[in-house]
Amino acid sequence: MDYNPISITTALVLLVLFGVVWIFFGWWLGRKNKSLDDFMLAGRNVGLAFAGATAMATWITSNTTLVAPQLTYQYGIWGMVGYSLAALGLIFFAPMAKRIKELMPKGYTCGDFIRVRYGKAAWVAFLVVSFCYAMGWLVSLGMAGGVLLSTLSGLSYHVGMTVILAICVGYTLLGGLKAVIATDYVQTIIIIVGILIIGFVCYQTVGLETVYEYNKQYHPKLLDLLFPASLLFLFNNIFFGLGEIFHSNVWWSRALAFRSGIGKKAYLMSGLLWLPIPIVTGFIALAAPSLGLYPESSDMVGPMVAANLLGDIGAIFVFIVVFSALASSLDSLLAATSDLVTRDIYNGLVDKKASKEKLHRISKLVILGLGFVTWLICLPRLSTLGGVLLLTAGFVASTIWPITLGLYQKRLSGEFATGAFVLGSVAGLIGYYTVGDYVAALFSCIVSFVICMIGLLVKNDNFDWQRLKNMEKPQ
Amino acid sequence: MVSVFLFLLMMSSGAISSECGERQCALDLQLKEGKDEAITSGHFNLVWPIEKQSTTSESQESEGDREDESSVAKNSKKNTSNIKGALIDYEQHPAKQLKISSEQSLTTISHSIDIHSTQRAISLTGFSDGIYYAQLFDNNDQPVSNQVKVTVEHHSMTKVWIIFTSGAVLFLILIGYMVTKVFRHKEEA
Repeated sequence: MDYNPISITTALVLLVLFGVVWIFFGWWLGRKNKSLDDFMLAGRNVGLAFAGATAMATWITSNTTLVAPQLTYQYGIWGMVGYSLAALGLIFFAPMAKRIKELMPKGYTCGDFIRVRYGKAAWVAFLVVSFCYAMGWLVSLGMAGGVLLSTLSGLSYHVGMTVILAICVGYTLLGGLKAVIATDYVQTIIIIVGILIIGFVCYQTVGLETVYEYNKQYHPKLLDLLFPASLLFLFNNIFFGLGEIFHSNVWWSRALAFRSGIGKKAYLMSGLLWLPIPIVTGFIALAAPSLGLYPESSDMVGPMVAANLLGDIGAIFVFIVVFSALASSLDSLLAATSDLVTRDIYNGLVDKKASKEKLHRISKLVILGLGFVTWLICLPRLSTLGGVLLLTAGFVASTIWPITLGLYQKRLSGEFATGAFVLGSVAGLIGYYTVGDYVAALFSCIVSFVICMIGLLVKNDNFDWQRLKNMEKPQ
Repeated sequence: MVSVFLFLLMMSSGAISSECGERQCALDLQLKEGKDEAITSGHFNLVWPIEKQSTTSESQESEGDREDESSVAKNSKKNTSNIKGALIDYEQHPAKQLKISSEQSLTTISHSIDIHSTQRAISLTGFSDGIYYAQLFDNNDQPVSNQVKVTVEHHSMTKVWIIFTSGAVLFLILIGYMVTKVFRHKEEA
């Protein structure tokens, strides 16, 4: 088999085909969008099947199809297990989704919650954290598009990255959250079937024994349960997953968009269904050395092994699966980040009296702008996908305790929440650069927790939940 | 905000290390993490960048690894070579194997890995503590790159257990809070 199993022509045809289908789908779904609620929150009326599918599809992203194999390739068994435990983020968020919908039925974003619950300073600190994370994830997804095409077809990284960004910006722009959720539904089916087939073929072709014996001889640390870096990585990844979901508007906007009573069931279902998927994609990565496959970059290992196992035609299948996974996350993130920028930054800080029609127009411009900025940052390909994502881990893990306590405790005040966001993020970055990328979330979460506990002990904010129901405007 | 993010990203990407010390080397093999960097995760990257001008020659293109490319080349070579340059990562080099040994003389090879003629980097993983030497070889088993020394030195277990235990304790507290407060929460009337 050739080093790049798909020809350039096939790759370009697939790209054009996918682009046309998804963009048309986005336009078709978005043509009935009348209001800002329709565009941003799909009319706040999403049912269980679509709700479960969109939560799952968004969480099965480049993270699962590219980064889970990458981290298994780097950290071995614990990398695989640690990655699958990121499902706890969805499972723990399930009751919170219900609480969010009940506490702020008129809310639009997680920023709305932080602003009303903790005040302006915490809101600004939170927006910085959230924006850094959103950009990190967007960049990693754009990069993943380039990596995917470069691995499978030899097409330049820059072309792949540019095209996938253009397609996702196109259909998100036309259809809003409704298009995002509907495409996620289709993409979930493609992804689950695809991953199961690839995992089964890998198991049948290579076998557990071969993988074990080969790695034991040539890459012993991958199977070592006392592998130091992987032990550090284990809890780091759990906190990263929790932080990602607890704070991100991708998940809050869905909690608000789902019909009442649906959020908890949808997140629980998607979390439990997602749990085994990184085990399958991780096993594929462990099989790479025994197949004589060593990728140029560790984030290429998943598609490289899958394409090798399935042959030339199978590589097209791999392309479709990973492309769907990327698109399902990229569109969700574009929509959710656009909501956050439009509602919190534009409507909250720039034009506080903007009409809903104007915000609708602004949110479309923001999607375009985000796509362009992401493209610019992706151009130099500064790091691996895992490297980019773990950099953001230091930011997001600082939000776990302030958000959890903020939803259920009246005591925690804005000053301590702000301190938790800021000092937690700083501790995460210090850990990232002094120890390694695999401790950033852990350090961040520990510092944030300590500050929140001090806050609960020394001050009682006695917050009135009614303020969230009324959704106070920024001063 | 974007510039701060870019700065952090650049810091995370790591530095590219030194040049080849021997003149006859066709390729400059480098440890991507940095020349004297101790590898604490057992995972490292080797790169051998090559200059585009010397390798994307017309002769290589006419050989045409792919059917669709050769058919296009027949029609208008000049135009397509420009398009290819922009679209395809296609440069070739003489290296065929990467050999890794724990001895500088490379007498006992622990890893012998096939390299594709367009491959320009490799990501290696799962190495135990020790010093390793890596070098690229061609079809005739002649070295085509300098030798790179990689020192793998995992974190001490004392440090690991302290951090691991902190994570475990924090995780248990979170689980406790979730079970007692969040999952059992009843909405106020």
